[in-house]
Amino acid sequence: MLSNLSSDVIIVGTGVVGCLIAEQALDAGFSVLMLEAGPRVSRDTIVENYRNLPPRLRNHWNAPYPPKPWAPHLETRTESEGASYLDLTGPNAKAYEQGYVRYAGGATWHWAGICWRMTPDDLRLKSLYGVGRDWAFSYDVLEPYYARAEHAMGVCGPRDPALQWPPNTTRSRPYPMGPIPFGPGEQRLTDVAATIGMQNLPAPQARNSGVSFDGRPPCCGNNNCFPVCPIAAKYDAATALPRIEAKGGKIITNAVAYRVETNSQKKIEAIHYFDPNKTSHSVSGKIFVLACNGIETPKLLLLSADEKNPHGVANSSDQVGRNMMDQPKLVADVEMTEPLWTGVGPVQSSSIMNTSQGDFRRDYAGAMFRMENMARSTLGGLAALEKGLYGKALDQEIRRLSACTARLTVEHEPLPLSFNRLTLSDKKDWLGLSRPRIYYDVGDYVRRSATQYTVPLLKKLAIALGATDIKISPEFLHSDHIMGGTIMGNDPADSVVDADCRAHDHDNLFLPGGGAMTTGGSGNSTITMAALAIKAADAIVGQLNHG
Amino acid sequence: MANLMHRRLSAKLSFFAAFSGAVFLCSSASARSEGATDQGAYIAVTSDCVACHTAPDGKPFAGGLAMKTPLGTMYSTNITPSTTFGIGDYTEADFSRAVRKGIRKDRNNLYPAMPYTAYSKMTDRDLHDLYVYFMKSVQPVETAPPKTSLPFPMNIRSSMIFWNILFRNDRVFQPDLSRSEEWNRGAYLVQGPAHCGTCHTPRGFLMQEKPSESLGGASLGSWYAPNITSDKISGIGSWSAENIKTYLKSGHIDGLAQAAGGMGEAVEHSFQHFTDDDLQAVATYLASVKPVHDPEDGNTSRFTLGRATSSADRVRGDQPIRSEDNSDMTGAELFMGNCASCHNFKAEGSRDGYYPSLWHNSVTGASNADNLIATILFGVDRHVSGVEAFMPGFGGRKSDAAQLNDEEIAKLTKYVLNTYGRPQVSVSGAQVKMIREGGAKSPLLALTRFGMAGSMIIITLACIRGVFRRIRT
Amino acid sequence: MGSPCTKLKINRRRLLLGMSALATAASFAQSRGLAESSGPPSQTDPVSHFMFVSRILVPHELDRFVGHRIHGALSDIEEDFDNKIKELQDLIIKTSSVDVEHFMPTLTDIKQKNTAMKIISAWYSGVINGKSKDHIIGFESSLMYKVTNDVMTIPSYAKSAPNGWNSTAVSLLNMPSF
Repeated sequence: MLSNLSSDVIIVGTGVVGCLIAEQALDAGFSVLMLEAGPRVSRDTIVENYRNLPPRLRNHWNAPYPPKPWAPHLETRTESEGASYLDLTGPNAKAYEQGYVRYAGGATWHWAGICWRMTPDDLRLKSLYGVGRDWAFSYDVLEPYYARAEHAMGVCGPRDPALQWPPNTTRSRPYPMGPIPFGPGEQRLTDVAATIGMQNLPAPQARNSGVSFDGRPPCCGNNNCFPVCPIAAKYDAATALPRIEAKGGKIITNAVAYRVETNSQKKIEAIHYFDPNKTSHSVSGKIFVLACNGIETPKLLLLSADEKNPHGVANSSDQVGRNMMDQPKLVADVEMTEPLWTGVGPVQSSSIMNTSQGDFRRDYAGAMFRMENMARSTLGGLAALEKGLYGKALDQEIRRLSACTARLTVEHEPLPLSFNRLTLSDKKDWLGLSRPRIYYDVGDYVRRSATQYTVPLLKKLAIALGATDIKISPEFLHSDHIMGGTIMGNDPADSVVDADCRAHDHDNLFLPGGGAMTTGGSGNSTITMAALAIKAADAIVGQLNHG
Repeated sequence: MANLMHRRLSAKLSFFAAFSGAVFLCSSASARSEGATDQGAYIAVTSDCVACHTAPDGKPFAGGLAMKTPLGTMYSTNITPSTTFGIGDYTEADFSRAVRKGIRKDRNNLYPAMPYTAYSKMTDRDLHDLYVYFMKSVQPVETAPPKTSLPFPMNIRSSMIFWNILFRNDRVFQPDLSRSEEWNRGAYLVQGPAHCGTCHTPRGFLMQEKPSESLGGASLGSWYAPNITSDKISGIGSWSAENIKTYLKSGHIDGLAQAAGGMGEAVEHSFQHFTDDDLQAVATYLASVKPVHDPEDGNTSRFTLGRATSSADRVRGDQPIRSEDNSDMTGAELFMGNCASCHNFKAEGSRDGYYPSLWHNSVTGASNADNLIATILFGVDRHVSGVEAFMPGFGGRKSDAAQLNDEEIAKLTKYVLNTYGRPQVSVSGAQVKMIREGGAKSPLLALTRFGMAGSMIIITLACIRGVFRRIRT
Repeated sequence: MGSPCTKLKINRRRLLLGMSALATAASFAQSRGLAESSGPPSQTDPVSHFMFVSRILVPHELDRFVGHRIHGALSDIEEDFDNKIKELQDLIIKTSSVDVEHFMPTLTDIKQKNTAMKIISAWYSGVINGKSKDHIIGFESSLMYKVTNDVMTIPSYAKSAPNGWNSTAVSLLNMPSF
């Protein structure tokens, strides 16, 4: 064992959750040390990686982020790559092919930036509809943290309360920036959806709208939010790293945490990690934060099983690794007679949210509908060439396929189901650590929603858009919103963390982020993860000040 | 943010220059006829008092802006009418002495960071209106900014007495009756309140403006205030009056030039609020300023160099998909990864002109790479007519999202100059380092540090000589 | 200019002038050649033959630098590529074809047709799919982005000023000119 560095706060993971907590602890005067499993790569390298990809990989969001052997993440470019890290089983294994990035800055490198808050009802599924669980607190408790998260990341959104989400709630602060304009595709979708009772709202998004924010430039419509915003107009945690260092934070990259060590008082004593030479090191501190989201955090807790913690650290409830969630997604590729022209502005900039709420949730899942606003010229170009066309006919077909096609998606709210479970696989990774094995079944709640509710609605929406051809994905896909795994609750017997994301079993261990989410809602998870991170950071700073 | 505001300051101060100042973006335009307060507000705008006398996120005119100068950090003062912390107890004569002669009410000397050499040309009437404005319309702020303490011997404010004897102008602007009223108004603005020479006129050894090269271009800390004389090659003699007006009003002419650094601030706080008549007057006067030619420029103006050419072609082909940064990136790769996303891979900017082309651009066509380097380091943040023109810095601040090191910026700068601008200009990592740190240090301080006695003798001799010369003339 | 520090700078500048001139020459050395004449090339340069054939196959302004790269990659993976180009060139001349619409129907040999389609595909997609790997030609130069560039940006490049776009839909028929 080598160096034993120490710090007030040890944070594993340099994604949005880790970075928000690091900055808050540093601002409060505490020392911070961050461990990152993967490498730290500059934006210009990622941007040029993207441009150097063959066109068929340009919509493969992980392709510009080749993993290091010691920090593998899921790759699905080939069958063998797909089988090389996550060990997925169950009827909907394909719906858990989560595309996160083990690089400094984490998966916000290629998130869409969409920031839908959960609604008051989303937090009370059990008491309202008799399904899932209730959160440990109500929306009123979460609201100020949402507002702080929006201001920490720089979220733009509509000024008109009628266009804000959740409806009929009070915001403690306005969005720091106004909305980003719609391109033709999103405007058309909005107009058409309205005719069938679906309200397409301008999305709150962590993207600078018209003005700079935090030294980052405003969005100029590069239409490349994923796989990488080339100019950092979209918030990603990589942009926070220099600031964290300027404030005195330390970041160790290529450091794969593999063991959380507890002492006889059930306190966390140290985190052990491997460097790329497979040499082990450890770091000690007062407060420990595992901010590796809903797959890597439970994996690390389970890997840390020892005599004192026979089922893994923080796992007296046996809930670590259970309740794995994501919004099971269906996509419809549609072709229309009239041009829709997606691809103007950010790659996602609006969603239909009113379909996610209602009494029907007793019986089946609510869902969010949206249209990808990605420029379809690459897809259109390749498809037209496949047809063997040339000359003016080729040009016309590329233009038609780019303008008159679209991808609609529907993302279903998941329930926390204990059988959707992450365990340690007997297959090992490059370092010899167990890979995560995940069983995933979207459940009848989602399946019923698809057959009775969302697929008919998806077809109706496509037809309203003038679709002449609709191809709906034959199975559920992943939305890359990893939730559950270290579920939050008031009862230590059936949950892993308390309302501040503090482990019930260890009072100096925090497990904030998507893993703590009690239910998933229909929207993208990051803003809720960020709000929980800030809430946890308040608790951490309070604990350091008084402990 | 803080740094951003300083640029001009530190700039001007490169020789001590700036105390300038102005209002907060008061509505300006109509001011002429509506009483001394409104008139004074407009004069404060034309004099750009606010730029130096307001700290980032601070109250207008409350001072406290830190200005890094080659001689140490200086803080601007509170010039609100607070009697305790500001100038509330100044009489009009006290005020006039401070603004025009650089002498405070307590008889201590101001450093010429306050451009009193230019303000000395301001008329009694303008001074009166300005005084009334500060006393009646500016809100008193009851806080004291940090004290300036320069290293010895610069902390002896009375040392400025000698400097003033040599270089202070003591004459209010005298109109040239052979010229038009418009020309005279322009001359008054340029030489007086707008204090253009403070930045654009090169300085002599003792940091005094050199009248023979008036507006001929000068280094200012990290930035370079270019030649704005009527020289067709080195200056802006090729610009139309409309060009000059548009530039001062907007800070941007696609295919010519953009205002960043101190000029960005000047446009933001001052020029955009000028009346059209005053802008026309400035343009008329500048067209008549004696041309100063820089032999470095040869016979090519900085506005006409370069052409659209694809940098993408230089980096494509089979390339590795990297999981770590290439420690030896070429200039073309740095350009593609950091610049092309906004300025386009042919450096032609955006079709609407918001992102300027990098060819036919005064910054890449200049014979001095300072402004290109400073722009890459510190970016641009200019607010004009409610619209922000923004470029992020690439490592000038430790918190910048992108951090390019000195060698990378040198390579990138050289690539841009070679490909889109003036290829003869040299760039080095050491130059980038110097600009990152705020520009060349004053030789004065080195002199005084290493040879106090010797240098004082030099200064004293220079003073005596100057006094004699004055007596003789 | 006049101050001592700028004087120092000027001196250093002169010292480095020679080096800088060399660097400049090097960086321009790889810039592309002059535009070609539209007639069949008389010289034996294989890239010129390739460009002549490409200009018939593709109704766009073609960049010789990119053509050089496509020619290089296809020469690597296609056997006897230059001869195939020569055949296509001869056929173009023989059939007096002026554009691809006239020329393609005259190709009866499936191999010749495949070669022609590969060339078209490389110009449009910026990639040549080889047996073992993809050969990347370019990204920004891919012609498939040209036909929508009135509406869509090439992904990762600025569309306009911040928030400078709107929801106006453009007609499909208004094909941009290239």
